[in-house]
Amino acid sequence: MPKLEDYSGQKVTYKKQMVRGDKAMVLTEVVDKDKTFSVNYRLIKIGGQWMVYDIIAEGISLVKNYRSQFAEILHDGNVDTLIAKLNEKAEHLQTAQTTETQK
Amino acid sequence: MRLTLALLIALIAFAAVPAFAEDGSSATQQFAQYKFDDNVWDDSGNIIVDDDGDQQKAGEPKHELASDPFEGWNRFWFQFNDKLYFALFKPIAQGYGYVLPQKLRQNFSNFFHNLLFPVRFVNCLLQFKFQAAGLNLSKFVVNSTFGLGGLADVTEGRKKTRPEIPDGIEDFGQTLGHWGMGNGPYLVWPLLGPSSARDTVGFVGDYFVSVDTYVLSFWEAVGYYAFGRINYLSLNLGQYETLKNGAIDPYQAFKDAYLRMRAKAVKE
Repeated sequence: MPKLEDYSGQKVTYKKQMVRGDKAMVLTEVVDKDKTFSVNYRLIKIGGQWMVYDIIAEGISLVKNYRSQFAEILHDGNVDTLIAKLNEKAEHLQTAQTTETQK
Repeated sequence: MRLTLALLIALIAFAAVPAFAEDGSSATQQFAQYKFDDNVWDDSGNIIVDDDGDQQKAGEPKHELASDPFEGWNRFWFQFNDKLYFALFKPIAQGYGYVLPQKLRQNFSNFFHNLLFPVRFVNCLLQFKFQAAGLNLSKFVVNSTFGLGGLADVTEGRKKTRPEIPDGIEDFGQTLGHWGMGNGPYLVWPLLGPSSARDTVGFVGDYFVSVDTYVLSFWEAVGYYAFGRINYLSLNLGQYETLKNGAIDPYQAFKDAYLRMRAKAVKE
């Protein structure tokens, strides 16, 4: 998690939390000097525990962002191409992470 | 400019992803029984379905996502910009950032922001956001005088007496969107990056309200923009890389992010 360190000093304010059944949404704001960025979380209750399953930063949902990428790959190829690409990416990230920790 | 800042926040999420995948294949079965549909709230937290299960609003507004008829062209320029960033802009920004202290670069950044005041002011007015326009006007006056021509951001971090007033970061693309114009096709421009037909028109519109258009000659303007760009990059190095590294299809990732970010900016 190299990038998290850049986030020192910003304030996070909790605006609202909403629960219905086993779903919840938490609205927060990250305040950096004059700028505010909205960061919303989607949660689901699994085995009595709340788990975050999507983060929406400035209107950009991480899940939907990946969904659109997957849709694009599926449009051009099939499920196998998608899985191959995912494995390739995971491998790539893993090697990048190990070299990072070795530094 | 806000695009990269916003995307950086998304990276917090990206960093958290591996924690989920630890279980491997068993997790798939474990989660299969749960419905992850976003059917209660939309991405801004507005209720879509009320307590009785009645549909309040029709899901996502359609204008959020644009068509991409020029995908070949767009992908070409996306690659071009990508190459140019790593081969040219990044090394320059790194060297520049090495030579000049961060504080000074932040001052330059403030200066550029302050000079773009007319764009924000005019577009606030065009959207009838008079309070936000007033807020920008007062910031501009104070920073241009006490802030030595905008180099210092004197108003930074001050509490607003009326916190409900939005910051009024508006441009002409947002103004057009505010009055109901759709994105049109998605477009990627050389050097400028992701845009849409609407935002391109907006960009040209803003060009005529910018101070530098009337003060600088063509080559001076090129230098001015290049300097502003390098200065900005030197303060935000690494953002582009991190998002790109997290994406399976970077082109699609940036397209989705750009369009959603703009949709949110238009709505506010």
